[in-house]
Amino acid sequence: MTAHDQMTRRRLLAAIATLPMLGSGPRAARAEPSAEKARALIQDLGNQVLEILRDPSLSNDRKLERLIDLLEGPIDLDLVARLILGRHWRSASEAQRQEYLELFRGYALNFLASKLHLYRGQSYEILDAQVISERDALVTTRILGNQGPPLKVDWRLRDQDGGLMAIDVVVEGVSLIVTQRSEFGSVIERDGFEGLLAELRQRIRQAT
Amino acid sequence: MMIRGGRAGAGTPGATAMRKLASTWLVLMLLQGCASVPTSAQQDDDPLEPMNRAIFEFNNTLDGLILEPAARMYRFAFPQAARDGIGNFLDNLRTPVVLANDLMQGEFERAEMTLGRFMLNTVLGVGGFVDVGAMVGMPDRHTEDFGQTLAVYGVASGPYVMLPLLGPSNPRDATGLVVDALIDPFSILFSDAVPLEARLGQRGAMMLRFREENIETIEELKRTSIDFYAATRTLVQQLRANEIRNGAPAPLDEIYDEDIYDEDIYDETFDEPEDPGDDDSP
Repeated sequence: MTAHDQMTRRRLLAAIATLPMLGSGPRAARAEPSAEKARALIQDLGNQVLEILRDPSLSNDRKLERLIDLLEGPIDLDLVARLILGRHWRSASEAQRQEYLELFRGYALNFLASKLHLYRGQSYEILDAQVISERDALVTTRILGNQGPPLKVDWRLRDQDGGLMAIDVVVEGVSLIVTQRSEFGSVIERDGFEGLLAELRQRIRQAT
Repeated sequence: MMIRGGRAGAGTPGATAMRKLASTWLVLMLLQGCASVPTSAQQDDDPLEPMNRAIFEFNNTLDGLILEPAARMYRFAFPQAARDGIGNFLDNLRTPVVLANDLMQGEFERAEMTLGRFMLNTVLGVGGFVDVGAMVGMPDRHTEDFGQTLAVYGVASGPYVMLPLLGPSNPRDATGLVVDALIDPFSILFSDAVPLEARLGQRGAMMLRFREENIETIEELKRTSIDFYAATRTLVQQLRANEIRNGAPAPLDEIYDEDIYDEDIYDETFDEPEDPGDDDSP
């Protein structure tokens, strides 16, 4: 089966799947995201993150632990991992997918740890929150207190089973997902999927 | 409050003439633009990758030998306040190019902002060293260039190209560079009045300033990226797309793989295990 056939079939299935819902009006199972909810989520999360970062009694390791505990809930890391892989997710085997998701957790943790030192007392303000599709919301914030002009940071939220989840952060138009996808894709094209897994493994080993 | 004043001035004869000129341009450009390819945010469009990687390496070597050390010396020699002043001065010098492109894109409010800031900063800001505009609460300074103008008119960027010395670009933006140089009074029109040294100095200072402002960012990127070339490429493309959209958020389908988005819904809907017959693995 060619990729195109596959896609057509997939679309068709998705279309058929939505048919019964047409009769029953809006999808009952899922509450649509509201701008207020999205704003509240980012506000709440932002305040808690700042509280941890600004607590002088916490060591860096302890801060990291607390941040991970906090972010575990409102970030859908598996979906992030899959969006980063993009089309390569399809061509990976089940075993590769499982290993990738697992390695990605470690990679994300290192990522967070390596960025911790960048915090130097910055604060933020929420500029806008809007619903941009039936499942997606976008919260626009500004990070203040950097050198130079404030940074515009967008938070992309998606309505998942567990409620609104953050799936991407976009800094001055640079999306974390798109950036990582480009890098991961480049490694996959050069060294194959196993090459990417090896690279992730090595990165995690180096960091610990 | 001063901004409001600037906006109210839009009805003055000068501004009207400028609008007329700009709208003529607009019509001309639109006619041409219709014939060209529509833009789409083509990610990683890089058919010349092997050559680009080689040039990237060459540029990086030069950067390590010359530009980065120079940027560090610049940082060491001038305190932040002085560097801010120099940055403001260089931005102010770019005003003609930014203004011309604001107008060609039909962004009249932004054009007024650009012009207003130029006058404020030049007159009250000691020839542009002080960003008076920021002090009176103007929105952050924006840039425009002819590459962006072409993009607004629907010209596709073409493939990613790494230029020697000049860095990442593409056919559209490289064309823009040339046109901007023609527009810029400091580079061509007044070439008799402005000595070559001064013009080269402006270019050099712009590069130095950019490099100094990004010492940490580039260091961080080199350290944390899995593939520095690929990371730079996507950053450049995304920042550029963001500039062209003037900071508006990118449409969802340009950011996320549409298929995987579908699959996400698909999986939930059917709760079916992964699709068969699609394994590339040996």
